[in-house]
Amino acid sequence: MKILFENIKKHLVHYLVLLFLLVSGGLSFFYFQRFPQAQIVSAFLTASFYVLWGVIHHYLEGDLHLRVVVEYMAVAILGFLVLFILVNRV
Amino acid sequence: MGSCFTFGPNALDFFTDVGYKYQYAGENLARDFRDPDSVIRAWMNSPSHRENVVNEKYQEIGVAVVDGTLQGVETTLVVQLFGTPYGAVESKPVEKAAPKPAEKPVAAQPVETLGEKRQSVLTSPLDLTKALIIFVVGILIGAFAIDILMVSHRDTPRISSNSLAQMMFLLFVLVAGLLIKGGAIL
Repeated sequence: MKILFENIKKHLVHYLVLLFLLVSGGLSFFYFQRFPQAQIVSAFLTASFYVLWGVIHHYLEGDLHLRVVVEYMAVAILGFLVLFILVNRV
Repeated sequence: MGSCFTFGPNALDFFTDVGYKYQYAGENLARDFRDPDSVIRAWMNSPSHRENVVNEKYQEIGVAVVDGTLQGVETTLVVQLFGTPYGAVESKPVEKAAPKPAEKPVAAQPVETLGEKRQSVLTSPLDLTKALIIFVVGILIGAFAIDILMVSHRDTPRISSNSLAQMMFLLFVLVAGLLIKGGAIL
């Protein structure tokens, strides 16, 4: 846990930016709950910014590799698909 | 019906409130659906609501879509009120009802014993999808949490994505998914 906290402390600004992105995405998703297309756009943008955040974060850390980008993209696609399916089930 | 709709304890009060003397009366309610097709599909898939829609005893119908309050929660309601004016089918009340044993007494009985046609809330299949997705996303969040703990505990150097960030994103997905509200028929 010590390493985790040190990691958060070291990259506090990075995590705050990510938190801001995700909270903004969540709020816009909630705000547009009567407009499914807007919700899908919100989810897509949030997932895209998340991948972008990952790329920039790892670039700044000097450990940006294709595998890392693929991992971020896989999680982002999964998250987007989950929300896409849920929105279209309503 | 006005633009501000507050659903009371007795749905059929609306009939008496507006002076509609009914021989038969019934009601279908739906809330929070996004399009008319979904509402109709949900009603037709529910035997008791479908019975209202196809019941030959009803001669008149009123439909309204209103924003209002249901059980203390702001929502959009779709209301179908079915009715037959008192005395309109005086000549043949029993003959029409006899060949249909499946008919419920609400629609078939005269006004003296007429009850209201309300059912408990039926949840949409969305809830099942949500449960499945919560399960899957929950497992992933758990896997990333274990990964963080293992790496932190063993101090393992590695090249991979940031598990904490992955967890944060999946939590966003989980919360956003839980915020999605589906329609329900009542």
